Amino acid sequence: MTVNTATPDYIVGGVLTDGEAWVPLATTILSSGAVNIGFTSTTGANDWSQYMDLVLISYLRSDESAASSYLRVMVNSGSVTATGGYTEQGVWGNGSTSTGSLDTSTIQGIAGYMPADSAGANIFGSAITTIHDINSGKHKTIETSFASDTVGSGYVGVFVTTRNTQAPVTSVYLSLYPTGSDDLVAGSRVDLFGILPRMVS
Amino acid sequence: MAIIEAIESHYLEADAASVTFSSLGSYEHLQLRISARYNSAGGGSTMIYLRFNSDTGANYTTTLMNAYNGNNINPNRYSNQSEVYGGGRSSGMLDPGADYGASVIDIYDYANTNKNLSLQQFSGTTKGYDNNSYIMTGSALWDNAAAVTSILVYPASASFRRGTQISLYGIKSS
Repeated sequence: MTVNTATPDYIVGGVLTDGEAWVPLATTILSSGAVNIGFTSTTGANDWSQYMDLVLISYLRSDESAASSYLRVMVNSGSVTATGGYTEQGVWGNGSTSTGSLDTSTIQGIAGYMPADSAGANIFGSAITTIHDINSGKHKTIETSFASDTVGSGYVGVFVTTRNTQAPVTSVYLSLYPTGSDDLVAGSRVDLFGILPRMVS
Repeated sequence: MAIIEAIESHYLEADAASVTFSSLGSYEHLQLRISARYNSAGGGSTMIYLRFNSDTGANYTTTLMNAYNGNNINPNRYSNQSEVYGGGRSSGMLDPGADYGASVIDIYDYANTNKNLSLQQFSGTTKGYDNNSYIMTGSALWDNAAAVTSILVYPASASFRRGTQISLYGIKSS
């Protein structure tokens, strides 16, 4: 993993300037299988207390013995919560049918589907995930649009998940559902960005 | 050179009927990022409306794909509207108190006077009253090729609730 802990670009000689609104915070590219890819707030540019939103751009594949795997997004812990920690609504299609699903009281956030072991070789799926207003006292709303075409099958869709906590977001994890013996495979990649606000008087 | 710049953020410290962006700068595309709730006493989640250049004519079309409360999936089109109907989604007062609907809206080539304006959005809430969750993705057209000089953002009824956050970003080309 590479993490950007440098002095933020919008601070030059101790003075605030208008810099990039999207700040690259960290990148993980797996060299071997892993149960999850996680990021944690630290220091400098990677101190998340300065950002409004977080965006994760993911390119993933799992080794689950299936054509597709559920992708999971978790906030402030990679472990499942007590029932009611998350709420999620999604809608997705597989080329012939569309499906919507609501879970009003669950233990994890769902962010779509990713290609798995029986999908064609070297096929990875993409997902763009936004966590909104991460330092507010609001429950944390997470939006994901995902694309997981596996040549003749696969899924495309969107999910919105709420992590029912008013605490600031200090870590985020992408993993498979359910977690266990299956891994995200080598070559899976996630890039994390922080998005700055601009208050104008 | 910054490629994506923050133009202006509004973090409402009091309820407000609308938010207007009128200094849009010079960019290729714009992006609105919204975390919103509105204050109608009897309301669950509702649409967020957008209007460009104060145009109140019937010049807007919105095409949506949405799902609510689980597996209720609907395509919708709203033609000849006086605003972008479904420019995002806001939580309401009947929803849990700390819930704010989330929306990301991309507005393309807004200064090009040879193209009518188009946008796409993705938004949702998970915990509306009576479990009335809502998720949607859609596109909209302002049938006008004028360069966009202002964007009005407002809820379908009543006012945005305190704590609503609306930010505008500019995206440059290479």
